[in-house]
Amino acid sequence: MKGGSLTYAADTEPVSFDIHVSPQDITGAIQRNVFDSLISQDTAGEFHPWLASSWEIAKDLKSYTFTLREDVKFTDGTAFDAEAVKVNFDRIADPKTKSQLAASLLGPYAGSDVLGTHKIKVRFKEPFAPFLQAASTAYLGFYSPKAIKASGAVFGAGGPAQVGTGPFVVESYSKGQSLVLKRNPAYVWPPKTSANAGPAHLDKLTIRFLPEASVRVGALNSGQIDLAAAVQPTDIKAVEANPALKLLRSDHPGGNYSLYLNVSKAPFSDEKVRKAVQHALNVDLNVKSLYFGQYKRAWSPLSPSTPGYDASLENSVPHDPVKAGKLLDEAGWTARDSEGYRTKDGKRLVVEWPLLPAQYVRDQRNILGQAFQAELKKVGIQANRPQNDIGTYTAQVYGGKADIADYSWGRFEPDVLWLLFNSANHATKGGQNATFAKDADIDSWTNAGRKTLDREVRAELYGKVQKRVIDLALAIPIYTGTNALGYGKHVEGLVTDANTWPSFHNVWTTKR
Amino acid sequence: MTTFSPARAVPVRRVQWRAGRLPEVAAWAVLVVVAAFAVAPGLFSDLSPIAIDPAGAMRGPGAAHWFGTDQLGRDQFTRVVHGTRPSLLIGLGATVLAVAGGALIGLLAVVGMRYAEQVLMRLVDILLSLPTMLLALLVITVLGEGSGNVMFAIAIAFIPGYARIVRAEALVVVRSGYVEAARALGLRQSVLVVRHVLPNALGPLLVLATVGFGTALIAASGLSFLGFGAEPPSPEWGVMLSEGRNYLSTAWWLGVFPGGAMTLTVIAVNIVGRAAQNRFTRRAPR
Repeated sequence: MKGGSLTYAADTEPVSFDIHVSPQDITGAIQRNVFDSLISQDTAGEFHPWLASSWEIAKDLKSYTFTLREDVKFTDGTAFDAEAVKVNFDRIADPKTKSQLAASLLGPYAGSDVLGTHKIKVRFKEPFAPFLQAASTAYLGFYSPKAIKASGAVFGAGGPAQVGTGPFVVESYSKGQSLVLKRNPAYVWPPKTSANAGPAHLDKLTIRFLPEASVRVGALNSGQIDLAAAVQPTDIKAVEANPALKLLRSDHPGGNYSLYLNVSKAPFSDEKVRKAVQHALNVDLNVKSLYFGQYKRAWSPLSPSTPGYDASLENSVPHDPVKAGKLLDEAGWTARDSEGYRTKDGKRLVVEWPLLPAQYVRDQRNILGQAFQAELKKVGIQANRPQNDIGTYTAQVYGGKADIADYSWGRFEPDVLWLLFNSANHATKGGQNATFAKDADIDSWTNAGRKTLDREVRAELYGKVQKRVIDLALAIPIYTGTNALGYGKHVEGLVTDANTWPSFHNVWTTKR
Repeated sequence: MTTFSPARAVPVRRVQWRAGRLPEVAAWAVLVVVAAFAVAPGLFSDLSPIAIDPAGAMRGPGAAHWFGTDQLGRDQFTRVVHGTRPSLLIGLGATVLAVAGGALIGLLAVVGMRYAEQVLMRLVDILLSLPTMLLALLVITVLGEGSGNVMFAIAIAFIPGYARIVRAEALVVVRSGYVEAARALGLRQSVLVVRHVLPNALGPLLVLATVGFGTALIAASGLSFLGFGAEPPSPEWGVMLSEGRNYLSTAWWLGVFPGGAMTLTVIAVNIVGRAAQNRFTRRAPR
């Protein structure tokens, strides 16, 4: 099993390699092989010891005390201890780090107290239940304090400056090309759940950046690479039909790909207009035909693989353009102009739905958008899709000027509903809530969910949030993305974690 | 006189003419069809290029849909036909603007004052050192996206090349006998430029512009392919290619037909342009 090397083709390249800064999935997915976390979460949502051998949670959920393993060393020889945890968490919380995700995972972080060489207490200003899940993500992984001091400022650029405790070590990085990882021979501290208790089997793992889906699949078919990320629905059948290849599929957890309607301004300040859009779109047919039946149509803002998912929402909002028309009539958009669009007081019913620049568009969401654009036109709504640079896009969507924003938000934790719908997290404040909703119920339920670890209570709270979002038509769930990983038959031991990211620690190759 | 026999000479000449000009004739035929697509797309297909039909998506070419249907069930033939006009207009507009701009700069450099030539031509040199596509991308970054801006971007990227040619031609014309004569007659500088220099320097430029039109078409499609040009769902060849590129192994017709239309048009334009160039240089040897 030991030895050999594999090449994995990723679909995007990290903008920043700094796990404490980058909000990108790809950064977490790649760096998971280089950085460990305090605890690990399995696909059923259970937590297991990792760098922390045990932990205690204060009754008020305002502090967590971790007892750390004593045999862990960073790959530069520095010992992993309580001080290292404090240095890392403080770095994340430091506004100078400009963290785009890790800081929000730390939530109301107040500070860390070193209680002993291997004992640390992490404190919060408010009760913070999602912390265990957050502590299991790669974004709250640990850099060697020595490396932080020496080159923390250039972590984002990638390369061997990145020193962690993980099963692999960064050997080299060439921008736009590839990242080469080699085995960390001293690694004996994987999570208890790992099938491999020792160092990684592979000598070398090369990660190539191939953004074109057809190029990735072509390279996989011809054997130039061993694994390909994000096999597109169009190609899934071909990969499945190839006897030399296998496919590993897992649904994305977290926030589904949804359309978020901006309720802070007309026309979506009117609930009837929002509901009309909800009924006007034929989500079923379009998702099925564009993605060849490979992606599941979504009914809730939360993906089915996320804890707390409310299955009772399935089939709750039927496609009904006639009803959509009636709702628009009731909302006063009764007249029609020469192009067939509805008008009220001489003004046309127009919604702005900015389109991301081409290089950021995933899953052909632009094509799906064209289908929805046509369906909105049928009920008399003009949807404009201006495509500008990323700066303009951000200003439009996060500044609250757009009417519709579309995105998904991956995370294996229902607290993602707080991120997406709590009024404290409005996009104008740098948050992810582009609906700009200010609903007292949603706010109190999502806040309460952060203050308890009781699974049933959380499931009930988050179930209510999901229903409320659909009742108010704040968001229109479209599909649950699938991460389809294509790989050669010679690749063994491949599993994905709760985030659907491949874990290479236990992977080996039968090809020599 | 009587020894000359036209009866024998004519057929030989006609055969030569046909064989040699067959590509040119074919190219003209392609251009006529393409022009017809651009002028009256409705004559060739009564379907709408943006009407979607998700249930009939991704059908291969057949009797109902000659070029198949795309991801949203839109008729590809209709989209290729309707995509002709926006695709050609950007290329044509960019070429006209570039020729006009190039002519202006080139003439100013020749007839203007010493320092004007120095400044203008060094500026042109700097711009020429950048690859045209890179220059166009730079301009797009500054101007923003959209069909009109793509046209301007390509025009600006092509101006330096045309300016160089105009200057070279104008330098020859300015030193020719008839311009000297006109100057000796006391003609004003402006009249001289407009009446004598410009028309005589323009001929070779127009021929080159025909070939340049083909290049501009490719640049326009390239920028649209990258998502800077025409706004979907309106059809445009570059946009269609971009949308179809991930289906090459599963639905070849999505990329092949708009790509084929583009290729045929550019090849036809080039053949016609080269032929015109040959004829022009033969007629006006220097």
